[in-house]
Amino acid sequence: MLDGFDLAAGLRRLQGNEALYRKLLLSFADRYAPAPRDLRRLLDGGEYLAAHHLVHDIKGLAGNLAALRLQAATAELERLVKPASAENPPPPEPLARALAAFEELLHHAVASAATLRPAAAPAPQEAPTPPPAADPARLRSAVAAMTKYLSDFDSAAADCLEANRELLRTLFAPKELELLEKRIESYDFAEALAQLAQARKGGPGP
Amino acid sequence: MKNLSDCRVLIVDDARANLDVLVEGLKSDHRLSLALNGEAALQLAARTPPDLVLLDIMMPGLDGYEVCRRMRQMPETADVPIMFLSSLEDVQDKTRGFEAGANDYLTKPFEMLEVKARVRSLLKAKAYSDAVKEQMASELRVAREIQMGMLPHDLAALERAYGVELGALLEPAREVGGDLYGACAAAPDRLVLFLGDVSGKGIPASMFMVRAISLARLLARQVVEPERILAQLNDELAVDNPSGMFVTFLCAVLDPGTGRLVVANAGHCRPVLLREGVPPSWAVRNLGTALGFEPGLAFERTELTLRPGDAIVLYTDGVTEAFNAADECYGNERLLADAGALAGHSAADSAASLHRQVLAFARGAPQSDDIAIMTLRLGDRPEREAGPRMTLELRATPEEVMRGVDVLRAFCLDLGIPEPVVHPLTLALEECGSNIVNHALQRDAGRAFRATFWHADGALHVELRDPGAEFDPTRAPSVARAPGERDDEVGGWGLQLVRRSVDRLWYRREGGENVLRFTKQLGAPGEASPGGAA
Repeated sequence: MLDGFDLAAGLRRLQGNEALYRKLLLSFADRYAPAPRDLRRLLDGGEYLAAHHLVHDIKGLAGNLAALRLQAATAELERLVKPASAENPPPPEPLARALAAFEELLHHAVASAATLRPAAAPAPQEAPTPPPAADPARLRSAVAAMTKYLSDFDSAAADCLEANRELLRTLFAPKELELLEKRIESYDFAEALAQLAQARKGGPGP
Repeated sequence: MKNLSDCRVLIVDDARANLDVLVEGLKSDHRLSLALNGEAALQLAARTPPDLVLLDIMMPGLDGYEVCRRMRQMPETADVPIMFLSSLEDVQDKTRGFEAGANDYLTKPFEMLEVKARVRSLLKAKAYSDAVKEQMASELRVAREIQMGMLPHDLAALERAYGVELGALLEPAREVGGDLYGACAAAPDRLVLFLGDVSGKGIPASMFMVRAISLARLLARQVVEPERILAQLNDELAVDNPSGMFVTFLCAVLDPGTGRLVVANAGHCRPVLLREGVPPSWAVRNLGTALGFEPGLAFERTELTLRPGDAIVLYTDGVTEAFNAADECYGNERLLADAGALAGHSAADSAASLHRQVLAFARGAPQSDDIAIMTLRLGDRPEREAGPRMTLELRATPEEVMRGVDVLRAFCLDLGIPEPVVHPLTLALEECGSNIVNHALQRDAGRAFRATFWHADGALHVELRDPGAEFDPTRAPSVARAPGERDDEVGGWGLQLVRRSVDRLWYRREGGENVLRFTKQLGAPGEASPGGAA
């Protein structure tokens, strides 16, 4: 039971993948908490196309996550924003009503989803482990595979990183490796590829 | 067929949350490439072509419709299935998606089960289509080999046998095409050349081409005159032609001994005549009708006399209708102008050189039609130049026959040919001339026939041409008859005598005339050659 979401419908859409559903809900809470503020700024600035994009994205995601009331409110908002332009702004009163309903439901859904976040565990006090000794041949092979995946913008880059995490620690400092992982998870493959190329040039790489 | 797990799906969406859902749902089934905007998707598709594209519509920068349109124009993705995944659910939005070139459209929110099912379905269709295309390409390659195998390859043997030069090439625009050419050794004095262009392209054109070339090779040996070869070929092609295909066709028959070239045209491009010291010109005026439309058509003939060194260039409209990138056409005038540079070249060089000129003109623009070129150049044979020649016109009376005999005797003696060789020649002329006067021309003194004598290739040649009813004396029975039986019957004892008197005797019907030719070898050099024995 999660207020604001039809969990049964949401799970069905994802073929019962609970872990993915949880990940998506948390990601939704992180990404769209500031959306009401962003949307007001865009509407006040007359940037209706960008406002429509934002509303449209939230509508799609709300549907996939089975936030049904939020989806309906976003659809109503989209109906007003989609045809709007500087010469033809949305009617003020209906827009104000739709915006208020949207904001309330979004706040509610974000707060509800955020309850799924686990309590922060205390940071382990272990001493950082030193990077393992480099095996040039294996590292070369791992970097070649990673380069290929990143060049193809292939989602398998994430699995490749996971499988070669220990080897890559010989090439990246811990924070750099964390950045690389974040880039891959965010599908910023071009940046990840550039970071890998840079590490090969400057680091102890092959 | 490609395994579905080896297929690459390109997912394009600016919302990372949507990518999360799709990656999680599809990553165990397929290879995935991901792009967060349209520009990146296009670059990625060109670099690593996908087997399927899942495309969002509303994205910053290029929207999904534009990405779809551009992918359809890129060779790498022109045939790749594209499925829109969008929250735009209006009928107009969906219609716009299909008009942009999409194969499928699914609205958000979607059920992952349905996405996976549609992805599998589209990939299976793509894999099947790829497999069929590969099989067709493979079969077309074999078809091309078979088709090319039907073209004459040993032109050198014909060149040696007829004392001519030949050049030929065929460059199909696709794997198989409908252009054709052939060269056929029909008789010692008849080299038959033909070149054609079947309507349309691809397998249907190539099959019609095979039918046309097979029939043409057969008819070239059976029928003497090119206009009759065309007429019979047309009759054969026009029946059982439900697809209404046709072929433009040019047939030329060369007598290399005299340089006489007879050309008949069935709707084909006019060949170019190259004479030394003279600008190139069209060898024929008439175009005629293409073959295959309806039976019973008649075709005109054009007679030319080639001199040693003269050449004729046959080609298909892939030459004159070649276009360059500026959409300019090569055209007839350019062909005539460029052909001037071919004078003096060998036949093979001329064909290759003309092809190079067309390619240079097109400057890399795709070849829109098949190109076939065939060139014939009359060789410089010393015998043909050395031998004297004489032609008489004789009226249809016995006295005129005897006048011809006297002139032949004087012609031979003047060349130093001994009496034992001259006698059988004059006997043969008397016999054949009498046959023409009595049977073909019915002793009508108002009518006439021509007798031509010439010396070439170590032999004395006599040719008789009459406009009478068709009659081939070489096919007359050579039965023995009892003494006292009538011998003035056509094909009787007189023709037996002619057969024994000369070394070679042959006949053809040409241009409404009976043409009878006989030859007497003059022996080894120095033995009975002109000007030799006293």
